Amino acid sequence: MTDALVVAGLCKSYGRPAVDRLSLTVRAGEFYALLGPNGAGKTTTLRMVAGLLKPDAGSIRIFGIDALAEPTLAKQVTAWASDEPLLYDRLSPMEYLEFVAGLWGVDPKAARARAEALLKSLGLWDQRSDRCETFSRGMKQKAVLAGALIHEPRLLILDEPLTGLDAGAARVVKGVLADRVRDGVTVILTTHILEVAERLADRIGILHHGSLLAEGTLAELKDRAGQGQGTLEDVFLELTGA
Amino acid sequence: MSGGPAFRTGSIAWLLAHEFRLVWRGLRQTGRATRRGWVLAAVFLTVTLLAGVPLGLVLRGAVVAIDPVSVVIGDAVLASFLTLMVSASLAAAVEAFYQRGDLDLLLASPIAPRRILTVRAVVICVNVFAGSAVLITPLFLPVALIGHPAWLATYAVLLGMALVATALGLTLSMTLLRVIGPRRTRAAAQVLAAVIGAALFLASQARYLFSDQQVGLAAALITRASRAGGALPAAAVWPLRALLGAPGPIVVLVVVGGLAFAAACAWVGRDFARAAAAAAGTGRAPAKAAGRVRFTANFFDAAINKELRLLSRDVPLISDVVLKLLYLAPLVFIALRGAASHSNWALPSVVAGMTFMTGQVSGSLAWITLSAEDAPDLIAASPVKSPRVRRAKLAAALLPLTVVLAPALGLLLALSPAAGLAAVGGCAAAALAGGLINDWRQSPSKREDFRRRRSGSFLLGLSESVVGALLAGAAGLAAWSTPLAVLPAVLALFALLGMRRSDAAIERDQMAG
Repeated sequence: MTDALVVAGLCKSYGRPAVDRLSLTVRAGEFYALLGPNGAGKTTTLRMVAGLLKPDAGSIRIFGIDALAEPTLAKQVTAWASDEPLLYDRLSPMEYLEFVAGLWGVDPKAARARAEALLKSLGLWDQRSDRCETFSRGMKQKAVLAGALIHEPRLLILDEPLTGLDAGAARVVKGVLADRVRDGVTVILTTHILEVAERLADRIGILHHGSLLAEGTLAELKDRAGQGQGTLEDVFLELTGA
Repeated sequence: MSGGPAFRTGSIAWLLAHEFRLVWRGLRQTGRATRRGWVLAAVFLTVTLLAGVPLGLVLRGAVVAIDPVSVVIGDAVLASFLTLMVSASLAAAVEAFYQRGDLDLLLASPIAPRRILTVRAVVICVNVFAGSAVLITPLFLPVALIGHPAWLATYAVLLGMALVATALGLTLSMTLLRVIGPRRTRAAAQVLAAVIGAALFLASQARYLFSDQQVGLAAALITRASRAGGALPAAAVWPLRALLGAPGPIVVLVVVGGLAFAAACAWVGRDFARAAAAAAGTGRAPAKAAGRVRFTANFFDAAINKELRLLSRDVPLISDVVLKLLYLAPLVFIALRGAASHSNWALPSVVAGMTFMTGQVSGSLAWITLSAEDAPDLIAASPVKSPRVRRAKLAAALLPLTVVLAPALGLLLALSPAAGLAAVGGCAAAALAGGLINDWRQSPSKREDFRRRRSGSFLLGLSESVVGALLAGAAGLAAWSTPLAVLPAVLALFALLGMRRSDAAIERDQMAG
């Protein structure tokens, strides 16, 4: 089976290297958590994968598609959502989904059905006609997630999707993500909430100074850090020396 | 938060020092702002030396007689300035209730809300005064310094008017809040401010709305009054006398302004905290998005739907467009009247005016759709190529303009085919040029920055105006049926091509991160 994401020798510099010859592979259908201290290069990496930032060097393949040579094809199967819910304040969630579905060319009938299902599963159905400007941060984050899912991407790239969510909203989002992974969707997520990675991720990568410091399942990382009985937090702090 | 050791903490002076320190630091914040400051200073100095000083020398010995004609002119000039001041102060006063900034912090402190409002009012007054003073100084200051030092009293007159305007702005905004509620006040105030601002222009156009006979009658009446030498009402004469430096009228004007300002601060300040709290609460009430949702697999349709919805829900943009359409209205009226009566003397200039204003409106709409994208990452992460996105946004910007202009242009075409054709060509070219400049020179911004968009990019504003003026000239000359129209058209084309950037260059900028 083709890997969902293969990154090789990826570099990006803003005066000093933000991402430094990074190579990593994410398997299809995997929940992959990318962790790292502030400034480790997580967001820069994901932005390059999503086609939002041009790398200085390296290659990115998404389901075998060269994302730098064929960005449109790669984007067709990818979705991106960041910690800053960039929505249209003056649109309703339904109108937002209508636009996003148009961007990805989703069949109108299927788009309407999916929009309804997503808004219901994320608890936004009653607010489907309210303008997003009246929403809390958590509601906006959920609307953005609905937008990311409406075209049924094969690779879902999420940068800190749980930032600012209350416990209830976070549980809903985690549930939706877990369901998607069960359906075969690949999820790559960055988070500072280590409990999320610990519970949901099949594999975890730890970035430090723009390079992959360690990668593996939670058990493999614990072994490597000599933290057999410890938590992911212990492993993370041990490996990054924070 | 510290306003400096010189003032008692929590006093008005202390709060003012804090406000002005923030303003000062904002001005010094970026190198770009500094560069813009130097450019403005250079323009200011050039106009002063090349126009102000020669004007001062010419008017050195001039004597202004107090007669009906000079009184009418003086009063009209001051009335014009007052409308602009009230427009600016109303817009700023409403924002004093809505803009949070540090307002929540201040209102949560034990400082009296009336004191906070007074400080905000002083800042508004200073801004309004400074705006007018800067406008007149390059031409006026040399004239006053060279031959008429007493005329420096004009600055005191402006101060008095700024006080009155601020009082009116505060009173109007509080009245709006009470009468129509906090949800609608912001939008209503923006439209009202635009209309008051346009009053000056509309008044100047009134002369063209009346027949020559009516205008002649008014002029004869003023002249007769002037010759008769009869006494004029004191209230009409005092503004001119104040401008010329008579101490009595100046003192009265400043004192009246000060009293109005103090009264407005006292009245508005009484309920300021409650009004600000009500304004803050408006963001939380759910606003329904009217209209049917039409899912489509066609990106172009989806983009047009989205942009048109956002444009129709953008109050600052709508007030700006309404203002510009108000500018257009008299022009269209004159054009149609001229075309209907076959007295086409006014047609070329009106066609030129319509063309220029069309370019301005198109620039505003295109800036919103192209530069003020709320979710740029969403668009960039989608599988739609950047040029297609930009073209859809441009089309969405031009669509409402086409709908608004079509009836007037159609009527003009029917009444005077030659002038109509020139207007259609000119408006189409200006609309497209305004859109393309904003496409090629887009700079990501927030919608809230709409009113400051021109100060954000000096080049963008200048290019829009220059290309718009050249196309206006071409359209006007074409309406005159002279082949000279080709000249400004070609110049506009060159200016436009000078602004052009390739799709690849624009995409490179978008990807630069």
